[in-house]
Amino acid sequence: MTASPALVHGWKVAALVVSMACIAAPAWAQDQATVTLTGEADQMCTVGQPTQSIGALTNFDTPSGSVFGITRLADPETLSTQAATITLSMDAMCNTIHRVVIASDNNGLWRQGVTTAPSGFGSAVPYTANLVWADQQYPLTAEAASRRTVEEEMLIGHPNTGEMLIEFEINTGATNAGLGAPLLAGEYSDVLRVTVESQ
Amino acid sequence: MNIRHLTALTALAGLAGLAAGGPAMAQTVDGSATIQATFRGGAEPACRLNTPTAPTAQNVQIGGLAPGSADISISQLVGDDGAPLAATVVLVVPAVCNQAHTLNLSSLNGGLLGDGPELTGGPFRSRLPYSVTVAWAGGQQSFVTQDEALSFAVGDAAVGSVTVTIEIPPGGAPLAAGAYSDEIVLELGAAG
Repeated sequence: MTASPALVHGWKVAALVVSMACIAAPAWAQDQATVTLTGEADQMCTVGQPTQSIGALTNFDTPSGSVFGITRLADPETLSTQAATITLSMDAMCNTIHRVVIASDNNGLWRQGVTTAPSGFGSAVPYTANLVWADQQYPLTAEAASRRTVEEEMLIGHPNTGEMLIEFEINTGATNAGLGAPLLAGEYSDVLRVTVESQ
Repeated sequence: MNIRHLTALTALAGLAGLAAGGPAMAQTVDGSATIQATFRGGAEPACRLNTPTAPTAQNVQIGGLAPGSADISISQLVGDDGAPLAATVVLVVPAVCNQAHTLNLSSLNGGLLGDGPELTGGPFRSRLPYSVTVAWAGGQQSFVTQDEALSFAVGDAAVGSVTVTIEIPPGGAPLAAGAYSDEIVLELGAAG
């Protein structure tokens, strides 16, 4: 019987050790806590307002907002089209594969007002607008054969960010009545639109 | 929950940084963005006359043809009797007017005028009137140089050639001796 207390004591000690082990267990791998982080990046495309870029600039006024004025559309001697060149720059980004569309409202710079011109006179000025994006070039030709919307569309198979350029060019003598035809007096205009759209 | 909020805030801050960091962006939530650029220019009202040619010339010599001018000399102004001899020249002047315009033609001296005293009576003359016919833009008009001027309006743009026919009539009273000259001014002017 004298040994019994000792045994009881010994058991109590043993029980205490087990208890401590249970408390300490989470600190060294007998339980788990999982933290899950989730987020979603929406498909997104941005394009900034066009500004005059460095590069070729011929026969254009200082830009005013998104309006780009040709200093002298008609050559004062021939009365036909005078060459004009400008490069526009836009910051752009698409974080997925995307589509780029460059479109002309009028298929050329068309004269306001009269739709038919006397024989031998041009009433519209053709041009080219070369879109540079994602290391590729996509030329839009506005040939001014008829007044309508024209567009070029291209699919970019990867995300891209950087500078988008439009190289706008009017050639000497270019008219819808043939090379070198005089232009009817008046105001001529067109609107170019660039759309970037995720796919 | 707190982590999700943090993630959302980070994304919003990223967009704000894009918007503030550069030019205004055209961007929509469906992943599409469009910008536009307007190009415009004006063709000023104008008329131009280029270097003439002289496809027909009888009893005249063409001295010089240049943009805006022509020098014409009459080979033999009078015959043995002192009366004028016929002479004709046709000038073709390339021309263009890019809107409605007016053609004017006038004679500086009202005819070929001698460099001597002006004679108003007697058997000799010191001025030789002649006729000018102008064809342009589908119209044609004539005048005799003692009339003041020729003028006609063209209601639209026109391109082509102004044909000017100058005819010196033969006969009539003899001319007093001297050098005779005149200056014809052809003018195309855009209206407005």
